[in-house]
Amino acid sequence: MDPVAVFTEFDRDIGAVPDRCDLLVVGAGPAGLALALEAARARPDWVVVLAEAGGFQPPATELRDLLSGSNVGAPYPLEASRLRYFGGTSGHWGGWCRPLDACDFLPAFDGSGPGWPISASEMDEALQAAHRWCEIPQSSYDAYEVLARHPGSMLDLRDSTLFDNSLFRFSPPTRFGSRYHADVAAQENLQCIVRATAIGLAMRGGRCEGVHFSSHAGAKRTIRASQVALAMGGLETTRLLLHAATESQAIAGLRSPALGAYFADHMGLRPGQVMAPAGLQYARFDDESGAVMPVIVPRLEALRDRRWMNMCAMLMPLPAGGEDLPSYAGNAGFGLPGEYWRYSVQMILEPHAQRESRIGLDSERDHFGLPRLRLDWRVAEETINNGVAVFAALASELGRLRVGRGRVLPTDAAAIAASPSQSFHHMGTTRMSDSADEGVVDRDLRVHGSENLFVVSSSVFPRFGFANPTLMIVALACRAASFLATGRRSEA
Amino acid sequence: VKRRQLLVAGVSVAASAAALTVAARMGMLQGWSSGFRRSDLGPDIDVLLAAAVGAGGSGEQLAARGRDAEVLAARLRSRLSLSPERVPSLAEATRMLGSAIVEDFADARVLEHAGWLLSETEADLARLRWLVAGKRVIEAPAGPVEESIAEVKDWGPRRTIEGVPFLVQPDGHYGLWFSVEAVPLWIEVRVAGAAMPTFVNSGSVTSGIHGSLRSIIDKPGTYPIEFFDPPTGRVQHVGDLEVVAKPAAYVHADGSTSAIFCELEAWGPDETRAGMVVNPQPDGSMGVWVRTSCVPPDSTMMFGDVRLATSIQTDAVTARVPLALLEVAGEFPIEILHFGSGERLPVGTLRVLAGE
Repeated sequence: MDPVAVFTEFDRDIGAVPDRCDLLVVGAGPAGLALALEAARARPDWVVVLAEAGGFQPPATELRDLLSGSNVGAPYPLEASRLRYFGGTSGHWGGWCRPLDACDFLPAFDGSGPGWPISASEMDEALQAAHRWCEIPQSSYDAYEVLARHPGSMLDLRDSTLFDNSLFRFSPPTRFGSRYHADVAAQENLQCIVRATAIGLAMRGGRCEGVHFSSHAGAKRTIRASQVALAMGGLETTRLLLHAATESQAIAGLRSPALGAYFADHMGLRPGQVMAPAGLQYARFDDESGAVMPVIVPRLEALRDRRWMNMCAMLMPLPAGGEDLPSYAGNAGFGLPGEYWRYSVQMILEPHAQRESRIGLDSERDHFGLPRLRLDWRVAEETINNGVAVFAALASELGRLRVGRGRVLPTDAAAIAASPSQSFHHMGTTRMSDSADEGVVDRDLRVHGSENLFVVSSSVFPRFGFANPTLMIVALACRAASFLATGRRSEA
Repeated sequence: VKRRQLLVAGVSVAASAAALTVAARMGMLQGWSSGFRRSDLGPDIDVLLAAAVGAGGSGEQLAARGRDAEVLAARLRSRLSLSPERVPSLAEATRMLGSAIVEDFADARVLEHAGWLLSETEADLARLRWLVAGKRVIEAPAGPVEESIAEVKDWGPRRTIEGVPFLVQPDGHYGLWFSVEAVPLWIEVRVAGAAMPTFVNSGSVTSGIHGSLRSIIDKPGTYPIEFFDPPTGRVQHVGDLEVVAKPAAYVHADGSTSAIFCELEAWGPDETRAGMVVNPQPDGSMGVWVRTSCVPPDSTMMFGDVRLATSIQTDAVTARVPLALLEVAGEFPIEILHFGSGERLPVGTLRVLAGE
């Protein structure tokens, strides 16, 4: 990929770096690219600058050190999963996509945390745009349309009062850096600066005057902007804000107790097995509407009535063999006609938001003098127990629906919580709320108390659902671009 | 009705119980009469019980919780609203039991057996099956006859390393599986001549090595695996389980000898490029394989400090490295960690080269 004139190498041509612009977007991952391009297209009268810390290739070893930090909670590879280059983490994502469910916007039904201050329907338009950005041909998540074309691929749960089928869809996956490079190059009012690491915010009262940047070699420049949007990912964005908060607490968002708190990641759980008809495909396969992966999900009424957190389950076929019980599947006398198979159940759990699960700043500093990250990841045992309870309900429901049986295997919630699996979805540490006491950004993604500082990242999620966050992040970017370009604000 | 025809009819019960003729059903019960007690629920339910071979082990364990056959029969008679005047056909019995089981689940009349959530009715059915039929319902004629019983398409495991358990099941037995065509429901799997609990599904048979026989894995050698057909006395030699001598122990860099791990034979892939996957897996991760024996089941492959999703076979270990861990260039140690002892088997270094 050859950089064209619209791209500026911060360390080689610092003279070409503009002093100021109308909109400065920091971070050229999926969120930053979508935001910068949407805003630049909507406001041709603006100068938009997109600043990226990396270059055009996956980062070399020396840049990897910048991602390291200390870890005092559950094990979490801080250096893994993040990509500091043009296109960001879309350079290695697997393309799993699904919007948050409507219930994910509501306060947690078990009373453990708040919901989003906006409703799911307020994201509809932006989600349509996000599907286009992620090159997903359809935005319907109705599993039964797919089941009609692939009989036997899923359990028919239409008669269930507790569970239903739904889908993941898949981006090709879109590598935002290569896919939208030409779009950036063609956008005359958009300038992209690469190898420019944000090292601080230029705060004055309630305004963010601009952002201080440095090259790896030490060249420094401040870019001033009318509007500033931070889209550096769920860890780096919060790290920069935490660093800014050590220098200025003039705005409420930087004083918020929520800043850095509520760090969460999706986690997996294998709570047991099911005996169900052979040939189920709760795995990725090609449909005429694009690649899909069916999942079993709790119905909204069940989530509400049983005070569950959200989650999904996939059934993974087990090798032949095992104990005796499944061998009577297929026997009509036990109400199980037909050919049966054993499946291991893989769940993706929505984590509980926990204030004490947090990122902070370490005493050690990186190459640029910024304090390194300090992560204290906590997973609630309640999250795991909740997953087991939902699976037990699924086991019973399979019997009631005459489609199978479930086996609940012993689960050591404390051991799993102490060493959980990671999905590398960094959520929650600048969460969205109408109150600066409860969150860092408002419903328009503006940092509370600021006039012009925005955050576009999965760090703004106050509730997390079970879906991979990229589609929702891009939707937030599209929504933010609309607000920034028009100057309108959403109604509280 | 010839005996052979009865056996074939018996096979079909599990898949389509209602398809049996009356003559076949009655003939089958007569053929089993030496070991089969009538349930007093009618001949069709007796046939249904007799065909529920897979419930034998569960029924035995459930029966241990109490209740004799008469009590269970009375409970089922009440549950299904049966009377001496109302003896259901096999099809009716099947339908009635299915409905009763569904109602059990709806009304939370369930119990747990080895983690499985079962309806009370089906648990009673499994118990009753055990009490009236047990596992020795058909007596073998004198003298075995070497003859093919079923077409075995595949089976396993066929090999293990000395002292290394395989397919360990929750009750501690080592699993054996067979992919078969048209196998009688009542066959037994014999390991080194000893009959093992056997469960017959449509298209598959599962069994295992139970009890003291498990010690055969500590003695290198070959052990015959056979199908035995009690009614006819036929024996089919399926193959041999090979227990190979344990390879030399792994010697650590400090000269100490591992009490857990054996010599490392080979592994790979050992190199990839940032953001790229060699040996891609269906989920987009990179498959890494290590050829070595004697890795205990409670072990995992490690990528630096990250535990990988790991599968342990008799003489190999495989794991999936998520693409998310390969986004940056660097050198990452691959090890196998045994949780029980904390000992680590150093496998090598996976080199992730910078992107082109």
